[in-house]
Order: sequence, then C-alpha cells, then structure tokens
Amino acid sequence: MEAFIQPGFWIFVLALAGIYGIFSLGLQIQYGVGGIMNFGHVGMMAVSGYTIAVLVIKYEWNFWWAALLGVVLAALLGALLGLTTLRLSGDYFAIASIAFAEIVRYWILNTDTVTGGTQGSLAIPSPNGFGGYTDKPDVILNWISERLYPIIGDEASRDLSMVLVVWPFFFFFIWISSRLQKTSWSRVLRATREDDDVPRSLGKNVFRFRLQTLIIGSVFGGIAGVFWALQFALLAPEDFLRIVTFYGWMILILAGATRVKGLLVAAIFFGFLYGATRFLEFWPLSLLSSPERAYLRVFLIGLVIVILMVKRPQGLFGKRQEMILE
Amino acid sequence: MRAYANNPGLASVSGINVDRVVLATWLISGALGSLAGVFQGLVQGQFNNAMGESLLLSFFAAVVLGTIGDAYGALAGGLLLGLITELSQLSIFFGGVPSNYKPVVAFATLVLVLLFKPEGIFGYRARKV
Repeated sequence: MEAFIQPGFWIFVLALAGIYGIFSLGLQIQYGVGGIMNFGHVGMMAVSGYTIAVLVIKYEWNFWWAALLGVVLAALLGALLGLTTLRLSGDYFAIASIAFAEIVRYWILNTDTVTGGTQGSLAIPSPNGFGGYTDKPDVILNWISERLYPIIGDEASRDLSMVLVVWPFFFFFIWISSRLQKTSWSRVLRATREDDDVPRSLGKNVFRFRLQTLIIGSVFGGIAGVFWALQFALLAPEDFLRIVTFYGWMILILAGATRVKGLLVAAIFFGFLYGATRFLEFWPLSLLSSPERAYLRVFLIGLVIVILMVKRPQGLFGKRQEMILE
Repeated sequence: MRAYANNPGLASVSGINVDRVVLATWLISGALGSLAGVFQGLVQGQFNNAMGESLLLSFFAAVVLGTIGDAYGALAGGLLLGLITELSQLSIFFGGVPSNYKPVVAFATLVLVLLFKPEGIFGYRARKV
C-alpha cells in the first residue's frame, strides 16, 4: 500500500492520464458530438507513433517535425477511413472501424523492414547500423529534468517532465474542444447525431460534417500517439491492440459522452486503475504474481464499463437528458 | 424476436415479453458460441484464452457476407470467406498475398462487403443499413 503515497506513482498516473485523456478527447468529439461510434481509434495513435519512430530513427528527423507529420498522417488516415466507410450507419461503421484498425496493426506487424515487425521500433534499421532504439525522447525529457533538478531536487524524474509536457497540451485541447462545441458547426453536428434527416432537409451535407468530425478526432488520436512515442520511446505492434481503443471509451463513458471537462477526472481515474493494479497486494489478490495482477486492469476496466452502462449510462458528469446511449 | 429487432416499443405493446425475448436470444447465441468454441478446440487440438479475439472479426465478415438474418447464409458466407482468404494466397491472383496478411484479407473483405453489398449474397432487397 505504501506505493500509493509515493509521489512517483501519482506522477506516473498523471502522465498516463494526460496521454489517454488526449486520446479520448478525439473519441469525445466523434461520439459525444457527432454520434460516430469509432472502435478503431487506436489505429490513428499507432500510425502517428510509428511515423515518428521510423522518421526519427531511420532518417534522423527532428522529433517535433516527425510528430507534425505523424499527426498529419493520422488525419489523412481518418479521412481515408471516413471516405470509405462513414456512409455506413452506426453499428456497421463500428465493425468496419475495428477492421480498419486491425488492418493498420497487421500492416505494422508485417512490414518488418520499415517498422521492425514483431520486435517493434527496436528493430528499425538506422543509418548508424546499430539497433534503432531512439534516445531522442530521452534527450527531450532529460533536458526538462535537468532544468527542474535545481528547483525540486530528487523528485525531478522522466515522468514528471512528461507530465509537464503533456498536461499543458491536454488543458489546451480541452479548451479548444469545448470552444469548438459551442459553435454553430457543432450544433449542426449534434442535429446529425439525433436525426440525419432533419439537418439534411435544411440543406446541410451530413456526410461532410461527419467526415470533418472524424478527421478532427483522428488528429487528437494522432497527437496522443506523439505523446505515447515521447513517453515510452519504444513502440511495438502489441501496444496498439483493440483494447487500447476501449481504454479511451472507458474514460469517455466515465466522464459522460457530452462532458469535455469530465475527461480530466475520468482520465486520472483511468490512469490510477491502470497503474495501481500491480500494487494491490492484499488477499485474495496476493495469490497472484505481480505480472498476473497487471492483467487485472483489463478485468477492472471491463467491469467499470459494465457497471457504468447498467447504473449510470450518462457517466459521472453527464446529463441524463442529453444521454444518447440507449 | 424479429418484431423486437424491428421495433422494441411496438413489440412490447402488442404483448410480447421483451425481456424474455432478449434473454432467449442471448441464451441461444451463447450456447451456439460455446459449441463453436468446443469444436474449434477439437479441430485445432490446442486453445488459449485469446483464441476468439482473432476470430471475432472474421465471424462478422462471414455473417455480413452471407446476409444478416439468414442462417444458411452464414454457412455459405463462412465457406466463401474461408475460400477468399485461402485463395488470395495463390500466386495467380495478383502474385498472391503473403500469408501474414491472411487476417487482413478477411477484414478487407468485411469492409468491402459492408460498402458494396451490405445486404449480403442472399439479400433480395437492400436492408436498412
């Protein structure tokens, strides 16, 4: 239990919460405003993360330029997904989007020469010859740590630097997103969520509005991939399994699909669930070994989603009137 | 069951016990699913807890391909999907798809079927999609 009172643990939770918070911001605008059920969101994160890894390792790009291109590619991928499959209605689009994310993952898994295949970004060949582990994220984060060290001493860690990088962005994106949701653009979008025919009869191009939403959401997914690449430095195809999309969905459902600011609390709660399961050492969980207990988080997250859907489908902060989960 | 699928409210007012229909649906599909799991284990001779994960999307593809709501269609769709994924490996089709991409072929088939023939191979009219 003493793990919970150490600041290092909470800093790690905050770093995770920031990354996944930005990730679920994308889902929030897609589902909470546009009513698009996207179960393939993780594909956007995978694409931008891998773009950065390949460009930084193989072509020795600057991290932030690679990040920019990664986000652009994620947006293009969102456009591709939308243009091909967004004409399908709710459930069918959801199935198609899972298939889409899986295609992305299989592509990453099997183009060994570009992405390193099963060995992840470790195996990306670099011009220097040796294994492609990139120290650029470390350089960036350590630069911040070194500046912090004279001020706060030993608490200056890699995770703390990460928190300092990701949270301003998280706040900024929440602000942008909530501003966006007060515009007339998002009012049309909300109308398309409730009933396609009404905005269509008013001369609005429903498909275009949906496509724009999907692309904006994909941009957030891509940005989450940037911070993922910065935090973990090492990417593997197994990091982008379907379950990651549902981590984002858990945060969204917890916050309430229409509540942008709820994401702050929900993301921290998720980070806690994700990080804490290893430290739950009381009986009967003490019967399991530590790596086995790590899998508890998948179980717990599933349980939280089920309980929420049954007891409080509008989320912790949502309004029941605006509930769209039937 | 079909009445419930089309309009739960209407089914409920015409005296159908909606909860029982839902329960029965889940019971039947759960039983069929576990039976399939047993057979899958028998065929492969080994199984693990993540076995279904990789199959779920292929199932969706098979069902959509063989018309949703048509039991024999699911049979034909499954057969057809299996043929598509296996035949795509042959070199006479565009030089053949590498075997690592087998699941991708299944997923791509799913997306293509959803897009161009959402009513499936036996659907006689466009269902609401």
